[in-house]
Amino acid sequence: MLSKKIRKLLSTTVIWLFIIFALFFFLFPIYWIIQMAFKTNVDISAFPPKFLFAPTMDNFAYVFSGVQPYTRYLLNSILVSLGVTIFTLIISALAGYSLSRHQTKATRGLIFSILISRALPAVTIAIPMYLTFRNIGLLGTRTAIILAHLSFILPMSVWITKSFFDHIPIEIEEAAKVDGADIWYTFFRIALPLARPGLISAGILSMIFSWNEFLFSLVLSNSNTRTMSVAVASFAGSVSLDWGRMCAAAVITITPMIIFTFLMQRYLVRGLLGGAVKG
Amino acid sequence: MKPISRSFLAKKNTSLGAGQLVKNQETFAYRLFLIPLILVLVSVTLYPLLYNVYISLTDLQLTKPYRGIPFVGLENYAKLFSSSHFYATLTNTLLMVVGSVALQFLLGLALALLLNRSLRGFGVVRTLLLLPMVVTPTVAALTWSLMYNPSHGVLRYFLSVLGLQSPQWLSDPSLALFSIILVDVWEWTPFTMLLILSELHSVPADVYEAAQIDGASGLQILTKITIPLIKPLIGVVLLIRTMDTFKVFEKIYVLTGGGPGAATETLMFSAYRQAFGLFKMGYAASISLILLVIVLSLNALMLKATQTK
Repeated sequence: MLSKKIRKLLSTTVIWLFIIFALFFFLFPIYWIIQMAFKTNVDISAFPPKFLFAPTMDNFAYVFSGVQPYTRYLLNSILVSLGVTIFTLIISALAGYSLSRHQTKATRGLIFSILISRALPAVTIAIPMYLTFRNIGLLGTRTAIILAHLSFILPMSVWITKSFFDHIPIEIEEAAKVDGADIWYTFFRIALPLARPGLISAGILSMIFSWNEFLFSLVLSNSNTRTMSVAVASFAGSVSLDWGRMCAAAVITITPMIIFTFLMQRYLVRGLLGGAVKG
Repeated sequence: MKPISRSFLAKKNTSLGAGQLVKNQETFAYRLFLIPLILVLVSVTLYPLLYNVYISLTDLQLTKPYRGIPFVGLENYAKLFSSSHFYATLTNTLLMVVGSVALQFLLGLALALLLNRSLRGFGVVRTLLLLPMVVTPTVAALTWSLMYNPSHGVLRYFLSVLGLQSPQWLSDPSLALFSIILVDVWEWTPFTMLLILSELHSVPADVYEAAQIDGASGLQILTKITIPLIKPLIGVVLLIRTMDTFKVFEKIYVLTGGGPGAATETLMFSAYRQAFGLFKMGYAASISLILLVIVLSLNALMLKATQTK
């Protein structure tokens, strides 16, 4: 009896050691960039690295001081991801409902093309988009970035909302129809409220994917409409040694994503994994 | 009830006619609901895709606007298939995809098997493990580039604690691609792990109990029971990760820019560099289409393989 208990304790300990090691591997880089944002450049370039140091807010103060237009980049990221999310939610609520409730040969073709579009490399779309937007004068605008983001976020979101509508029992809607409700009432007053978790999942994912997107935002923006994701990457090629400021900008970029993850983890897991599996 | 005047409805009795009318109205609404999606998909996916096919048949170079858009037929493709650089980027792409997906899968499977029991506090662990995939990829790449730094990077410190010499992670041509793979593995292993774990949870516990009573060893249970049961999901995971790894871009852009030399230049990065570095749009378009064809055909192959089993 006792030996069984000890064995169980031992195996639990070993498992936890592995988990701790894995957590260290996956989380250390995130901890590392965050702590760097609070270091001076001297502390950052110290070797061996300083694990204990006097934190400074100077890097963040610089980022928000307006010497370089970070606040504008931040605003661009917010406007683009909000725009993408609003368009995505409206379009995918309508389309997801239709695809879930009314399947014909033509709509099955549409579902197939949604699945295919997941395989599209961004660069395949970015080349013609760049040329088209240049011709019609949209190059370098946030509208161009929003449209480009829709090309990969919309199919994903339609897929998630469709699968949520699939899980709402159709009997509820049929009962309403027997009572005389028309399609508009059924959709707006019955199906849509029931699918709210799905819409929240799709919305959060749209926002995260748009915020994090890089290639489209890089080639379709200019120095005024650049998003944070692009601003952070532009440090990479530069010879500047302003690591602290760079890390502060990076930390500002990921903070909303981290907050989202903790607040919305239930929806996020369902969207990230559920939306992926049902493919 | 209003009388229905149209002849084809008037032939039926009124209540059926009204039902038909409701049905028509519904079908109309369902079609209407699809219009925004179709409009957007046609303009941001279908049209660009077709336009890209056309560009790939031209020698459009934005640095030479005076030449217009000369139509050259399949010349870009001929040039590609006779260029050793193209085969080098193809090899890099395949190495990266195979290496990264294999590591993500094996690590994810191992972790999922370890975590497949009810542990207190696992909810928090799962949330924390989501972080690598939701953190902005350019920030992740930047972080790793600081950690890889050969003079003051923290990886050099960790290795020195173990008494090891730190390699030139990003400037050694034989190591640079692996350094990029490592970042990709860091970012996506939690994804494969969480997916496999959620599938493992759906295997009823008595299946394992029965096997244990029959005297099956741990390894036997794994290869004879667990793996076959989660096989369909493994197919999906591999499919998704393979498709996405072909498209890795930020990490290469931030960490190496395709270098040293062309040691980390993949098809994806090559298409980007030709289009937006050298502005050879026609040539770039043909690379991007070859990439698309490879991804789509692998996609179809793997889908078929997982469906038949």
